[in-house]
Amino acid sequence: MTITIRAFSLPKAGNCESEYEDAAWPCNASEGTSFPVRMAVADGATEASFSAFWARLLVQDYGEGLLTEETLPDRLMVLRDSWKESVGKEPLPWYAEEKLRSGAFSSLLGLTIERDPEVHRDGGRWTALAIGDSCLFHVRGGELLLAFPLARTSDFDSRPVLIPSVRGGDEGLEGAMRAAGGRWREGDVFYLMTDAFACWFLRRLELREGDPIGFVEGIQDDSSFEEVIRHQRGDRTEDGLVMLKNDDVTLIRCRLGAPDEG
Amino acid sequence: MMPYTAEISRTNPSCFLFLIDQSGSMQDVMDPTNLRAMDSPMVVDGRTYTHTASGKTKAQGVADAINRLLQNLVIKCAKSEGVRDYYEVGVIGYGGDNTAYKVGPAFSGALVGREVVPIGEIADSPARIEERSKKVDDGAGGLVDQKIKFPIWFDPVAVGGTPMSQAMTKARDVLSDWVARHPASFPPIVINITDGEWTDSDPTPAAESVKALSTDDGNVLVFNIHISANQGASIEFPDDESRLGDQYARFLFNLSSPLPSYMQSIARQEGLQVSELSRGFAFNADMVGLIRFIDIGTRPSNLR
Repeated sequence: MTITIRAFSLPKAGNCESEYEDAAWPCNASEGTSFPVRMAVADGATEASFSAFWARLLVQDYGEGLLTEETLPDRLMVLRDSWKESVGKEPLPWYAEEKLRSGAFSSLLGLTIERDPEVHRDGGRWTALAIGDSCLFHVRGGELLLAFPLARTSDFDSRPVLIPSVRGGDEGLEGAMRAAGGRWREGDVFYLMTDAFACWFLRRLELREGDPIGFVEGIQDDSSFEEVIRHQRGDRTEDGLVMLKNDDVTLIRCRLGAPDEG
Repeated sequence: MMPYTAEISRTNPSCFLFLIDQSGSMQDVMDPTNLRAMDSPMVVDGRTYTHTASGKTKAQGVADAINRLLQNLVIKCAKSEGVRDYYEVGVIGYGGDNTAYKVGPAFSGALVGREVVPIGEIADSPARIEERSKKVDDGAGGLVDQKIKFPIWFDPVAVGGTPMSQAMTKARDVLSDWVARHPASFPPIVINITDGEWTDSDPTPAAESVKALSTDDGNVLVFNIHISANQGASIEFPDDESRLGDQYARFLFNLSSPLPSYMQSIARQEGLQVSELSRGFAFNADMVGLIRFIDIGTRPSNLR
């Protein structure tokens, strides 16, 4: 059983690489055979500053198995200290100081895959944790089995609850945490996407236009990913809606078993 | 394409232009307390005063609101690497002696004389930074005073008449150049803050010429705020001039642009009653109303 993970990302059009504020763990490609396997994506809020760093702290902590549904409050305290220590090192102009006071914000979506022969000879269980609007999609045989935590484009609004990097913004955080779990078997594919791309994926499915599942399954390399994203950002629905909102885009694809052609 | 939907970016920034009444009556106290009759009336700057009162003058209230708005805009555009130039902002003052009106840029300090300035440069050039205190949650259910920095770019002035027509003409000159340089941008928003009637000539033709300017994304918006010195209810974003008490309020209502639909949504989120016909006008606004109006009028629809 081989687990093949590929991460793809692209900053918002008009922004440079260093202004990309999503995060992925692992952040490029990995292949392995040992379980459990953990992966995560996060979307740092554009309105705040130092959000990219906050998003990276969150995905890394989940990826290393430290941050879980149970440990979230304790780990947030540790991560907030790291964030504060790192961003407060240099003297800052007045506006940066003011901005830091309100903190950074990020979504988080983490997926853990465990092998369990008792569940399935070539399979096991998976669990996922989500705060905010980054989404997980579970695909089997080219069919979507599950979308989590959002399942319709109408579920996306511009004000999701996000994880703050400073104390005091935690109201509603616990209530906003979503957990899911299920079974997987060899040949299944999981996709983790930040909001803009997840919303595009669901929109294509709702409109029954194109083949979004085939598209994400078939992405070979960074340049083919970039080309399609650039094209989709310019495309519109019949109602004039932008097909893919201009935002940072992040995708993790995790194939279980079947060798990755990408 | 729907108007007022252009993405606001560093390549296509937007623009706010404030026109600030700096006439002598702006010395009046805005929300007066401790009102006392004087033993005998006093004449200052051609106006007769009969009472003393405590509180901020209208000119101070407006200066606070503008400084606060500039601070909020800077913070909104501040990112890890610095301030992104999503906006350009100008503040034009109008006042001066009736025989020699003064209409022009009103920044203090390093930006003096500048008409429209990118927000990043505004961030780095306050005239001075004052310390004020603000009550904040202490995390244990109580409130503590926290010292916060309050940068000042604009100081209160209150002298002479109200050359509003000249101010609108100045806005047209500044913005006709701006829209020519930024044809794809979200259109500029002009916010005129005044407490009284013009003293030069009917500003309607000049205001109409400002509203006639446009980018590919729509026409320039002109909003008006009438600042109160009177007790009495304020009216924000009215949709019908018959609700407005006096002729001058109706005049300013008709001078104001209708609210674009995205701004109607923001106003509704703030709990205000607005309709499709609502205009960017506030009558008899107090300090809270002034700040709320400016906040709604300058909140981006699509900041990227």
